[in-house]
Amino acid sequence: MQWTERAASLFRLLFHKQRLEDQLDAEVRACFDILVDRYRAQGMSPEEGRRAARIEFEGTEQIKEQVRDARVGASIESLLQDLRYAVRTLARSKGFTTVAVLTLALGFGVNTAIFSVVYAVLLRPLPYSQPEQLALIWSDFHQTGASRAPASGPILREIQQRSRLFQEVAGIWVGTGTFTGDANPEQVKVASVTTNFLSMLGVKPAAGRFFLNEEKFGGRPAIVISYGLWQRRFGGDPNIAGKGIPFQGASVTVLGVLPQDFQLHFPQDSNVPPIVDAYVPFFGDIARLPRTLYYIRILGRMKPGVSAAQAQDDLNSVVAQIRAAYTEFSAENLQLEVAPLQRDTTREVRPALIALFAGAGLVLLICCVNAANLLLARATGRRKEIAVRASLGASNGRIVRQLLVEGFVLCTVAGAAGIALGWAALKALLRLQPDYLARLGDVGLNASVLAFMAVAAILSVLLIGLAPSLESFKLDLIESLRDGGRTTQTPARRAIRAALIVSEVTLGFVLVVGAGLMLRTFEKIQQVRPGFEPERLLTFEIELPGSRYRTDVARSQFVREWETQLAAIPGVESVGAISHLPLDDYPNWYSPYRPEGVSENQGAALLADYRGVTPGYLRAMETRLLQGRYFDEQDRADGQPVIIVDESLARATWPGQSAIGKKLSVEHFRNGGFPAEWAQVVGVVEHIRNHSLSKELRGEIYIPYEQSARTHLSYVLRTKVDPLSLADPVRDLLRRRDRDLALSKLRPMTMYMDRAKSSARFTAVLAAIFGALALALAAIGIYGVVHYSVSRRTHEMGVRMALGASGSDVVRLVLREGLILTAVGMALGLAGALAVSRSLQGLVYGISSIDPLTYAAAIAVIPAAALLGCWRPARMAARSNPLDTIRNE
Amino acid sequence: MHGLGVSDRIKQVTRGVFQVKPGSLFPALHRLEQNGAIEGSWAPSENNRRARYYSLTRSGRAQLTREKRNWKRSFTAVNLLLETET
Repeated sequence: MQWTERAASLFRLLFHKQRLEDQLDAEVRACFDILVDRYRAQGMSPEEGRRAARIEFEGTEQIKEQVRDARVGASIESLLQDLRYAVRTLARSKGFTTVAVLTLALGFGVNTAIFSVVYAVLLRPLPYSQPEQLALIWSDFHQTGASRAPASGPILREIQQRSRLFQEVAGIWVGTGTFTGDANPEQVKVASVTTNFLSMLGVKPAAGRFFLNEEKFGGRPAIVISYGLWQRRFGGDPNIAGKGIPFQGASVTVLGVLPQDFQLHFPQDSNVPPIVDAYVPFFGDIARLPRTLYYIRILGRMKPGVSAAQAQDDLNSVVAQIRAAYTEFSAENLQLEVAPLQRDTTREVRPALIALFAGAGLVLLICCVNAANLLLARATGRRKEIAVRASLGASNGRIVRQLLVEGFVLCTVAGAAGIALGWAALKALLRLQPDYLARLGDVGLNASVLAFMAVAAILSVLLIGLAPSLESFKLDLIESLRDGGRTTQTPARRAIRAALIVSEVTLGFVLVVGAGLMLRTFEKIQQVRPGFEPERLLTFEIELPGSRYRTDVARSQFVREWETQLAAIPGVESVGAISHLPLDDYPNWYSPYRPEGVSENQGAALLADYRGVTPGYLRAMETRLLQGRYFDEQDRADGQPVIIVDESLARATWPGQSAIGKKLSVEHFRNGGFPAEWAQVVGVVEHIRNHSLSKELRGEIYIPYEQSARTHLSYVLRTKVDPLSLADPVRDLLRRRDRDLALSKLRPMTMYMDRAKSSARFTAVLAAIFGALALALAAIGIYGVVHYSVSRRTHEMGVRMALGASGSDVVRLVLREGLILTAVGMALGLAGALAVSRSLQGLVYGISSIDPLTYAAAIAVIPAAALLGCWRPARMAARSNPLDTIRNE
Repeated sequence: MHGLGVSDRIKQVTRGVFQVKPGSLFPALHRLEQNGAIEGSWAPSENNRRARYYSLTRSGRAQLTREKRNWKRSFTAVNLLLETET
């Protein structure tokens, strides 16, 4: 083998093809002639000689083809030829090509959009250094069944000291704080962190530096601010680091600025939002706080190469030591759970996204089936052409390759169109703004998405090319050449097409059921009563800085007076305030409570959401009073300790009894501490959905604001007018009252409701689109197949009608063909839908995952689509004129 | 020798055991030519037809010697193997 010779051959092939071909032709012909001469020399006539030579040659064209195949670079050459041919034939049948490309582009588009989201949310590594080493450490209290709970400062210290497989652990808690000073006061989210928190994530500051150990426990008042705040409030001042700024009524030193794209990627139930504008070290030594004051979220960095399971083992032994050392923790049976950050952050959205991704996959499958069907129909129409090619020396493999190349060309064009379509669809999707897609700021097309689409396209090519190829093997040359126009369908061919239709209906059924379930879930969530009346309700937050509103009395006085002033604004019906607004992302206040006659150890097992509310709050929210009374003016700081509980807590604690007059030991907030005090139940109200519209998590305990005067407050104003029209009067009023107080999140309550519904809406809208696409595609698919079979059978129909069949007989005949296939597909689809219903369990709300109404709807709507698909072909068959068809023969 | 001549010669030498049909002959000749083992030229044949005549090149001759040696070695080895079998 000499590569120079081979290269020269390749060169000749590519650039002097015609000469090569002429030579080949001459050589083979010469040989043939010599052979003929010999036969004639043996005494045959010229005719007989040529015949004998032809028999010996077994086809000159086939020989030439074999020589061509033996050439260097033959495969490249013929592939180019196939490509050119494919483009030419596809361009010739414009209708077919348009339909096939559009169908496929639809499938690719849907998948591009969904995969972009899946990649951005589930797959892309978090933007921290070595993100796979980061893991959350949750507390589980087995005694109470409370899992995924925050930890206390002492627990954090114990883990830090005892763990062997964590490099370091850090803590965070997010509250709010106010920037004061010359400019307008501004309330922002503030994270209290251990000094190693930011450096542990491994991000680099945009300016200045992060915390050092000296800034620990407020040793030196220091703050790190977000890029956004830096730009917004300090005009991007390049010398910000080292400057003192007024914060919470005192001066603190800015150490540094976070990078522009920095976000916290924590799970939703950790109450750590993605954007936090300011970071300060924990104030005071958290390790000395009460061992059972659980509020710190712990993030750890595992040592390199340590798996989550190993880290879990490590913490199991740590927690056993902790339990042995402190009775509080053994009483509560404390456990620690290691949850890798990325997986934990996406745990709530993963099921819905995976379901949608699967749905998109099914849509693509249906699109492929449709395209395969189209190609098959065309391949059947092209039998004569294929037969001619076969008799001119094309091998079976060559013909299959030709069909695959056609599929490839289709998929390439459709893929490009699909990616464009998907990009547009993605933009529309992001407008639906599902709450959880916090990271969606940077969703888009990237190398991973394109690579995924390339793989999807290649699989599609195989799928699409396969069906027609199967059929071409069964080609009978003579038969096809003789009457390439009209042929009856062979059983094998019919079976392939029937299988395609059945699979289309099956997939369509599953998708329609899935869409139905998601729509019904959304409908149920729409109807949920959250425990209050969200319309005509204006809300906003304020934070009373401890430096100026130091005492409970000072805060209570401010709140009482200001409430009266707010109520006087024209258009306001009633006013109230609460420490933790429902459906907000402010860190929850939840703690143990203890009924009378229950020991302290058992009491630790009972947890409730705690809320401090002003007397007007429950009235303004229109939360229904079920028993007893609301709070009123007698429930002051110095009054008798009283509480209102929600129905679920009342039912669980005193089943079959009235809760009124019963006593609970509940946590209070007094003078900066959290003492437990006995309080009497004076009222029972309906349950309020504090965290999610679809989940009833815990019972609720309401304490009069003055008996637990927290520093953070959300106001609610029941209005007679459009809530937002009162925004300016409220702002003016606060400015007159206290120039340094900031209000934030001034918005109608309906916005919180919308956000709480957003992920269900996102899923429902997408599922509905998929379902509708599936229906339309199935109808088109059935139309294509039935139409094709009718057009092949016009002759038969004509004969039938000539022999006395009526138009309606023919219609029935055609419909029966379509509907039998549909029925089989539906039976399979029903089985498939039931099989996947289990995995949809976590996604539905208010209905069963085998919701009868949804299934009934699917069973009704699929045949309707099938009928729609059969209708035109059936009419066409019925109108076929016996005379015309017979004359055509 | 032209293509048909090659196949005639093979048939004759092997006493009809090997018959190379045109379908195998032409691709084989073209492969050899591509690899530089033989080269072809046009010349008049019997009955005065123009045919393509092939002859071994230098590198083709070297290759042939090599292949012959290889073949003999394998052939002898296989024979030895078969004899010990019996």
